[in-house]
Amino acid sequence: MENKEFENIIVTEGLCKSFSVGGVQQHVLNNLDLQIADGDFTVIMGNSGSGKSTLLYALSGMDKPTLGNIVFAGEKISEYSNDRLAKFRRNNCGFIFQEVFLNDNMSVMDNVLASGYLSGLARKDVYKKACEYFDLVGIPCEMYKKFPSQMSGGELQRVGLVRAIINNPKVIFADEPTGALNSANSIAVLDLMNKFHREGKNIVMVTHDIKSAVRGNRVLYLKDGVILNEITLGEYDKDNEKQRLETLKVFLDEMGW
Amino acid sequence: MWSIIKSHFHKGKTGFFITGLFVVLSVMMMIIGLSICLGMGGVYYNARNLSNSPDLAVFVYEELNGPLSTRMISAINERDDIDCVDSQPMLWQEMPVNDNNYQCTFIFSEGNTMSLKRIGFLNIDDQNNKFKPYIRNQVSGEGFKIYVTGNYLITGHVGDKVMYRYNGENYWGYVAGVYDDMTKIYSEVYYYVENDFYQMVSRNSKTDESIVEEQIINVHFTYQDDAENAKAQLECGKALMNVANEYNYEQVLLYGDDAKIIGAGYNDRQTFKDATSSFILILGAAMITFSVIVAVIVALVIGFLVRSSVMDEVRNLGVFKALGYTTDMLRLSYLAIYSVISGICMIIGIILGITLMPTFVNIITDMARLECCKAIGLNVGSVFVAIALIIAVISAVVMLATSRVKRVTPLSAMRNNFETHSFKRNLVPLAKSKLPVNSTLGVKSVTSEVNRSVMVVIVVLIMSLLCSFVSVVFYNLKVDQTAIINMAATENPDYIIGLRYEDSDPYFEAIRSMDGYQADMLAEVYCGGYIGDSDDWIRGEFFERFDILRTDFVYKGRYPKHKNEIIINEKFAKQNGFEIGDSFTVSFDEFTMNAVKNEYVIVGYFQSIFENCHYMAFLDNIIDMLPAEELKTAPRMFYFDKDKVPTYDQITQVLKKVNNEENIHYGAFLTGKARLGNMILNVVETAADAVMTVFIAVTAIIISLLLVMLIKLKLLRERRNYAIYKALGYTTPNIMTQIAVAMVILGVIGSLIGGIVGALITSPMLTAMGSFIGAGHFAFIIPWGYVVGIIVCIPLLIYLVSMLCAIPVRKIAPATLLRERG
Ligand SMILES: Nc1ncnc2c1ncn2[C@@H]1O[C@H](COP(=O)(O)OP(=O)(O)OP(=O)(O)O)[C@@H](O)[C@H]1O
Ligand SMILES: [Mg+2]
Repeated sequence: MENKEFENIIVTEGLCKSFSVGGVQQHVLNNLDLQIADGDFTVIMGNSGSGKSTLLYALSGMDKPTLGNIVFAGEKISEYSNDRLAKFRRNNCGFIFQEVFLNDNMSVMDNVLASGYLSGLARKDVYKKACEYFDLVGIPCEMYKKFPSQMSGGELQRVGLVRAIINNPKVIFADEPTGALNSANSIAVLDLMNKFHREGKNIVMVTHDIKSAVRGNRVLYLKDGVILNEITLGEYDKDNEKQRLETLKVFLDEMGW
Repeated sequence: MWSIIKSHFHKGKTGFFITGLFVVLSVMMMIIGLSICLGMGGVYYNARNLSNSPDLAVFVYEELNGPLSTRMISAINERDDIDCVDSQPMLWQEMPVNDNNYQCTFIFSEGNTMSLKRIGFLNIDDQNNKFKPYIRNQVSGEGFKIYVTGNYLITGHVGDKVMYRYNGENYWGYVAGVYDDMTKIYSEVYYYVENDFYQMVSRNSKTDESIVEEQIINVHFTYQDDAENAKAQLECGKALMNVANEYNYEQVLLYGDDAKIIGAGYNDRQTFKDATSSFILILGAAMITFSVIVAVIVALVIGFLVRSSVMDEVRNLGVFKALGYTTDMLRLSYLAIYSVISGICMIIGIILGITLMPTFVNIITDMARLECCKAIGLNVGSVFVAIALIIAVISAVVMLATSRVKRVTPLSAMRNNFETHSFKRNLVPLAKSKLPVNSTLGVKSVTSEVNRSVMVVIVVLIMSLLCSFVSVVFYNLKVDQTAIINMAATENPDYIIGLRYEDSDPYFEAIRSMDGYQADMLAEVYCGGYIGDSDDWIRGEFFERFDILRTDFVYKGRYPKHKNEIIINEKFAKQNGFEIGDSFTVSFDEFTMNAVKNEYVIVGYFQSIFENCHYMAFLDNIIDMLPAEELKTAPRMFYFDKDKVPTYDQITQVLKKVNNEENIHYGAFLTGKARLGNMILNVVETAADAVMTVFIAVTAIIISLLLVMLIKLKLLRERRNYAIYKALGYTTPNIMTQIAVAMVILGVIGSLIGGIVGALITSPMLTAMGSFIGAGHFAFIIPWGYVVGIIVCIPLLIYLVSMLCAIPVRKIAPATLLRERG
């Protein structure tokens, strides 16, 4: 475990996000207060349209809140300009999406390097690190040169994982990372996420899938833009998976899921 | 299928706008350019009707309706191709230097002083004259009215004051207007004057032998076609000279030594044609070239739009194929879109071409000061050519660009891709690049979008090539005219000074003693003669020496070193089958050269784009060759050190001291440049400015529009990728840099190749083109500074425009875009 600089890596105060569609205001996040402790694997669940993705984007500094503060690693990012936010994300946030969103015009290695070179580290070291991570997620050297259209969905999501951690971000944000994968591929990706977590990474993951959700040690339930309730599960282990599933099911039932 | 059209339309809006604009431009230029070029055959016929100018003017040096002219008119009337013939009196006044100095003269008094030694007066108010010219640019002023040919406007203006001095009296008048007479436009001695003035000179002619009445027989032929008319002019002119020879021969037989020999000569439109047609043709040809280039750009743009649409719509196209649509049906849908767009734009182009034609022709007319340009009308054939060109270009391009539709299978729809495995190669791996990340990503987008890159390079290349070409031409026409002067076979001294004194030597000596004086020699000793005993006429110029000439005439062979050596206009040499080393005899005119016969060896070629000179040789023994009266007032060319060239006032001051005079009686005072003005250089200069400005503007507009289209399209197609970049931490300026770098790289490649090639091919290309229009060997100076300027400025422009167009990157919000499902 790394030395903990902050007790809470992300803190929100009165976080509000609303969209105006055709002049009508839609309040998606309502006065949301949330602390995410350094070292946690946080899972966000909730019904479709409850604002999970919106919350994730706001926390990661991809979107600016309508009202309220977000303090990320001691920085009040809710006050940052778009470009400052972009620079902030370089070394603080990693992203995994349901659709991997790789650039189709670049080889997978270049996709990873395009992110890695932003860290400011020596390029040689970035390349070495990329190779290590590729090795870790099980992508062999021959595949570095392939283009995204020439790879399978599972492989692509693992490339996405490498891209997410290449800059050694403080937090990895994942929006339904397994949503488009079959169960074997899902398990592989989730195992990797647990591995990263054990090695000290913070993870915030949005998911619909209970099997994914049990991987976290804290599950938040979002409804109507506020956190309705939450449950803490302790560290994940293959052996305690079944028991965690039971506990989570009970919790979700209570939430009316 | 409608959905493909709709989506193509949505993504290509800017592209369609540009394509449309270019189609309009191309059609318009083609119509105007072709109308000009195709109209040349009849332009002089129309110009003649616009100006009432004769096709042929025969000068007979006898009183009105004298025996020779009567015989000539009946000879003319025997022809079956005569439209109209009429004779008109003219008063011919010699203005010799007489004892009281400056007794009788005619001076145009603005700018460069020109005093005429002889002048032909024609009566503008003669209502019987069937060839009474139409007057343009009419102004009113004080004194008698005099009308000049358009050539006068090159150095003078309408409204200039004019002084006629006769028997101690000064008569003041003004240039009241311009008449266009194609047989007289390049001659400076025929002036129409108002009736009162004409009658006064006519009265004087009764008592003064230096004023004689002569006549001009003017002829119109029926031929509308220029070539046929020209043939008739020459044939009829020569036949009439035979009539004159026969008449004189008869007189000699009848009266022996007492016979009264009557002189005769003729002017046709050939000189005017030589001097104007190549200029108009070049303009027309330039417009056609421009039209074709714009059509090529249209082709590139459409090709690109269609190809990228096919790539983007693979899924939809696949679905259509699955539903049973055939390849041809899908390809035709693309053709349909462009047919509609270009159809509409062609109609706009045609309307614009037709409505702008007169305006355009007026601009040429003003620029060229050639009133006959107004005679150029719309050519209906040109409309069809323009339409055919665009239809051909568009259908060919759409068919080529949609060839990929064949490879789309229903399976493509599922995979959203073509059935290829290796169509992408990673030419610029990030790991190997030493450049900054954003530049590297810019370079990557150059190599990964080959279609787009090739198009940008080609367009930039074409435009910078043209710019480079135009700037070389501009430089040589406007900034450093050495090459043109060399081609015009016109020497360019500091001054040409003629004085009207009985003995001008002390005055010339005074100039020679001025600071910075280098040399001087007789100027413009033009002489004509027959080659051997043939009746082939050769005219040219004598020089006292060749070693001080500023103009480098000879481009093949060498200058004459001995009295029997001659250099010759290469075009003329070719026409007469002469080569360097050949020799021939010239029998000179008995009036100007005392009937000298000389044998010459050809030692070099020069060229004379305005066809004013066939040969150049030494002026051998002046006293023998030139009549004494000519020598008295003969102007001299003066050469000074470059930084010590005196002004008109300084020279006048020095001359005044010679005999303590109030006024110096100049016969001529011209700068070398003003003399070149007579060679239409001013005209070319004005055109050069306009053409250069238009070209730079058009280049900037075309390149900018292209970038606007490409970058808009790119932002649309790649907004997802840019959203990801942003999520990963790329800022808006980072992404703008990537876009600009890609475009600048293409711009640098294109402008570097285009700029250099354009500069290098200018002279060879002009030489090739010139051989069609009669100009010869071009050796233009390449202004490398300009070329470098083009090579630097185009990428700079591209950088600026790209950055501006990429500003909307700011609006790409990752959170919003990534939410959109693929
Ligand atoms: N840019 C936007 N403009 C307008 N409305 C938006 C925007 N983004 C999100 N919304 C609305 O906000 C609400 C929450 O959206 P969000 O994507 O956060 O839901 P979610 O919990 O992630 O749902 P899902 O589980 O289906 O992904 C939805 O009703 C959506 O319509
Ligand atoms: Mg969501």
